[in-house]
Amino acid sequence: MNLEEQNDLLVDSLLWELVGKETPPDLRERILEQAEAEAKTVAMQPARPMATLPRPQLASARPSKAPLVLALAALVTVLGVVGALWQSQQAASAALPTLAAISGEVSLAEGRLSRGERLEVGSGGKATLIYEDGTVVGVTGRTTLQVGEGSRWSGQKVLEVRAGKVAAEVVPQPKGSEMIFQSQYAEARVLGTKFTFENEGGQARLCVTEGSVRFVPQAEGEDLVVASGYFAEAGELGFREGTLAELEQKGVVAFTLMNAETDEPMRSKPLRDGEVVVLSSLSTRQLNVRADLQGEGEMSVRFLVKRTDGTATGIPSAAANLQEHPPFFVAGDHWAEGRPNDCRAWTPEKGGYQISAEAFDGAGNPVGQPLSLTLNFK
Amino acid sequence: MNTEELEELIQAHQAELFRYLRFIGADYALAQDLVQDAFLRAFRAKVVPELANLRARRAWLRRIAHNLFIDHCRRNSRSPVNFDSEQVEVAEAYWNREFYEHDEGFGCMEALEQCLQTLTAKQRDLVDSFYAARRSRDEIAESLGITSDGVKMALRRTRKALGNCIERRLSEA
Repeated sequence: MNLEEQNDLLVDSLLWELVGKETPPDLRERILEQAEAEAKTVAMQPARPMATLPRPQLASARPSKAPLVLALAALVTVLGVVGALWQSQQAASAALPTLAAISGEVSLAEGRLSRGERLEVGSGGKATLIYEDGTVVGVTGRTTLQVGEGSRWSGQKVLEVRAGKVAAEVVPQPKGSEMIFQSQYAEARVLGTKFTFENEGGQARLCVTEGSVRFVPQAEGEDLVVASGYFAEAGELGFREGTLAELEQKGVVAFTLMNAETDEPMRSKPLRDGEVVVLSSLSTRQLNVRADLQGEGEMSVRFLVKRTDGTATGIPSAAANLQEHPPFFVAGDHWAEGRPNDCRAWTPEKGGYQISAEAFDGAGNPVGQPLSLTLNFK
Repeated sequence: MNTEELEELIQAHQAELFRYLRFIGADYALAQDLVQDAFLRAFRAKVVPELANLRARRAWLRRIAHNLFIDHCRRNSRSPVNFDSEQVEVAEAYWNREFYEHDEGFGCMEALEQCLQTLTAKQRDLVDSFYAARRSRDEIAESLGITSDGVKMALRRTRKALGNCIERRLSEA
């Protein structure tokens, strides 16, 4: 196979994963189940009697060197075991943080934390965790985290952020042993950099201010590397990424393609301006589009949808009225029937659409800029 | 090796092994089976490399997986891939250098995501129809009014363009 063929195979396998969504499956349970069954079978088997081997004839009566060799081998083994134990203790110690500075309401006293130990910092409290290699994690108020289990071989650091926010400065970690910040929505895997990781409002959000961090949403195995100046978030509203400046925006910040049969996003990533949606590649044609908002306080949304060729959109005219109850769907929902999360089904005709949405606060003032999107259904 | 150690090995390396097997020619279902077999074989192994050594354990697991793949190809003469052990070694070295070394492959993924944006509408349609909608080359050929070989060539040219784009972006990174 020549270089060109190898290049082709590599791009082909990447396309199957990225476009064809053939991401690596999680086989842990399947393999462990079988390994445990095998281990049990071996343990239940009766011990096999030792075969009696013919004793080799000694070639001469000279004194054998075997005892010396055996003693040396035993010494090497003992040294190896001691070395491995020492290495494993060093690794275990490197994986555990020390609670170094606390103020306000903090559930633990200063000192080394152990695996599985939980730290709770109350409202207005603060705490700092320091690792042996100089990695520092600042824990803000109203945060709960737990020291997780990393790889036993490499001193891998794992912190589970159950709620709240941490700001970390991670010194470069050994390759293959990234520090992991976990939540139920996503993980951040860090080789060495500055960032914040928070778990609030049904979303896990990573904001990177220096270096880059791998973000691993739990819902779909689509990992991405978040560079300095960018954020990524995943959780109950799906997945979103962008610049840190975008996080400061208020009002409508994204549009998400919805499956109106399940009322779930068709995919975790928001729609892109100018995107071509191939209807035949979707699992359903019962669709809708959700406007995603950012900012505090109650907001309402007004949509405007047009076809680029001027023909009818197929969306009920009532959906163009000011929508006052989240979530906000371009083609409306069944809020009036008591099902606010149940979006109405819309089967768009093939062609171009322009969708725009503007948010308003309780007093009817616009919040942020209207967001517009051009979509082409094919 | 005990089951706890096995679990950590699986967690750390299953995605890497799966991607490697896909690259050397295993389809999705076969790669899934071979990853499972590779870890079970590692679990049963009497001689295990020093597991704290990342390079050693990666090489060991990859060797097990590609031996299993070669065995599969030899047993199944209908297998679409015909790999001898020398070719697999060349492929392994290439994969390590061109894929894994770029942030364990994520550099390539990210570059591909950006490169997909640079495709023409026609190329993007072709990629979506084949990889996302899983339409066969014949089906695509019929809808485009060209031959199946024409689709094959067009896909290959698109992959080549994407490969060049990925290489450029990685060298700029």
